[in-house]
Amino acid sequence: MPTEPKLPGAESATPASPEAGVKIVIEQGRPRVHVESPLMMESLLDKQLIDRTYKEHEVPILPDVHLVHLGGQGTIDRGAEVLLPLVDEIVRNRLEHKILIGVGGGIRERHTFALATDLGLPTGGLAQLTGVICKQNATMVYYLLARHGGVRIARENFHKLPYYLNAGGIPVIVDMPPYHFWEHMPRVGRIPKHRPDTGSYLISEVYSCRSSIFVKDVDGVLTEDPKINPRAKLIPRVSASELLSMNLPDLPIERAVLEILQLARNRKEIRIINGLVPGNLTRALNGEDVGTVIYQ
Amino acid sequence: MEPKNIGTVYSGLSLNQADTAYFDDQGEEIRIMPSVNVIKIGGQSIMDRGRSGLYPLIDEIVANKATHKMILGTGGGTRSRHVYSVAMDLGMPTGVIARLGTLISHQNAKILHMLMCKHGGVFVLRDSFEHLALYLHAGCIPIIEGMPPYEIYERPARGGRIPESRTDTGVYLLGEVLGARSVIFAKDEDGLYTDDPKKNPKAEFIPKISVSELIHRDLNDLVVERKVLELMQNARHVRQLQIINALKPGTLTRALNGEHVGTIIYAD
Repeated sequence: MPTEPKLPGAESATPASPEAGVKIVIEQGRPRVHVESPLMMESLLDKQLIDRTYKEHEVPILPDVHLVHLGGQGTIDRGAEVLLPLVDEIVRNRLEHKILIGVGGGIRERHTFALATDLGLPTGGLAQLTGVICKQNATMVYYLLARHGGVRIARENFHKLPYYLNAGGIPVIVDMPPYHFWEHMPRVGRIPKHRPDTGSYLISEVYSCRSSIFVKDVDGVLTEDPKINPRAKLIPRVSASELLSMNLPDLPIERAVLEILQLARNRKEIRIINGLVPGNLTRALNGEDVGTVIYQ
Repeated sequence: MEPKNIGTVYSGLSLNQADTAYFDDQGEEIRIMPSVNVIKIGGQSIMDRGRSGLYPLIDEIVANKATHKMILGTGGGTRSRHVYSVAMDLGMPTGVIARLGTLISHQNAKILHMLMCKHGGVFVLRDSFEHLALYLHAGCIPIIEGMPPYEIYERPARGGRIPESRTDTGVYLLGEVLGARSVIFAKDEDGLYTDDPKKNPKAEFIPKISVSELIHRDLNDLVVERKVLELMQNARHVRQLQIINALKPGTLTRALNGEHVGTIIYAD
């Protein structure tokens, strides 16, 4: 019988002693009741304590799943001409690859930001509003994929993802992360920092996905704006910190993704590809060199 | 085919530009609920004390109901610490740990709700926040879970694996987005000290300090999440908060009346 692969760290675990068990502790002199644990009565802000919680390997949750983000403005807003071939390509690849589709917002998201900013709403208010645009896009992508096993998964049902994936389904999720009213205020302006690219990337990180692919309408990260300088060159590989320090006037990926990538424990690189070029997604799923890879 | 645009200043614009001139503040940002006070009820510091810590505080909150509009947000406490320990031992990533912590602050909010029902306490889920105005108008005291809703979308921590955005952050950000009158953290210490006063009796009390000074001091331990300090630097409305010892009768009332009774941390 083949042995099950052990979880990282499992081999080093010490056997539980029979005395080990959960204890309720009443603090001496203070009427506080505690549950015994290594963090009991500790300030969770103590730096040494925080350092002690570091662990090299985390549990890989969905390690064989590719997370493919379909950009709102780059793919969905372009309609049938771009989206239908992409859907075909996803369907052709689903037998070989487990694919989870995340969907972005696009131009209606920008309109919402413009309107809400003009009306004086705060950043958290903007973040509260724009998830529905991703939902609209996810709904459309779901209906396109339905006959091929597309299934629209709400955040509350993410724990059922393994079931849908094992059944050969293609789950479609909303990529706008649920920061809502709790979105961080930017230094300037009111555009929420955590938008669909960030949501998609965070899921690939927390689930240790096999890849995080961003399907956009540019070849990747270019040295300059191709609309200004047509001779701008594609950067095939770049680290997140390097890319941030290059101070490019524009980026095809949210800056928050680059910040978070530097802290990643599991998904330590992402790929940006041009979804307008047929075959690019297939190549990316096969791990071939296409687009720009940004690594930790 | 070009993307179908709907003609606004942002159409076709990337939102990732380094030059944010397009997105500079246009006019004044509104305060959504300018008269409300957002109060965090500490988990380990208040809730876990049970009757002796919580009952007098609830009485004091109720006594202030006629004069002040309040929203209460709950912390986690010892059960959060326990579940964080177990989850970290199992190798769970930060996002999963954040999800688990949320459920404890949810429990505490429900506990507080049951205790405060007879005084108009209403448990409000994030999905029903559009009802907050109604509840406040009806003289109720909305009670929410303090954790921000990030859960599995929580950023990996900069050190270790405990989520950096916990209930202090959630309650503070709620106050900020609502443009609240005040944000008060009800805890069991008089405020901020140079070290943990429960462990180091020589720790000195800091009555008032700016965010930049506090970040600069880089204290080993803090009474408030570091994330809050970071976020306060970009605050539009809630540019200061007060940490008080809510176990001392009358302290919350005085803080609600705008008195300086604990540690005030302000953005400079």
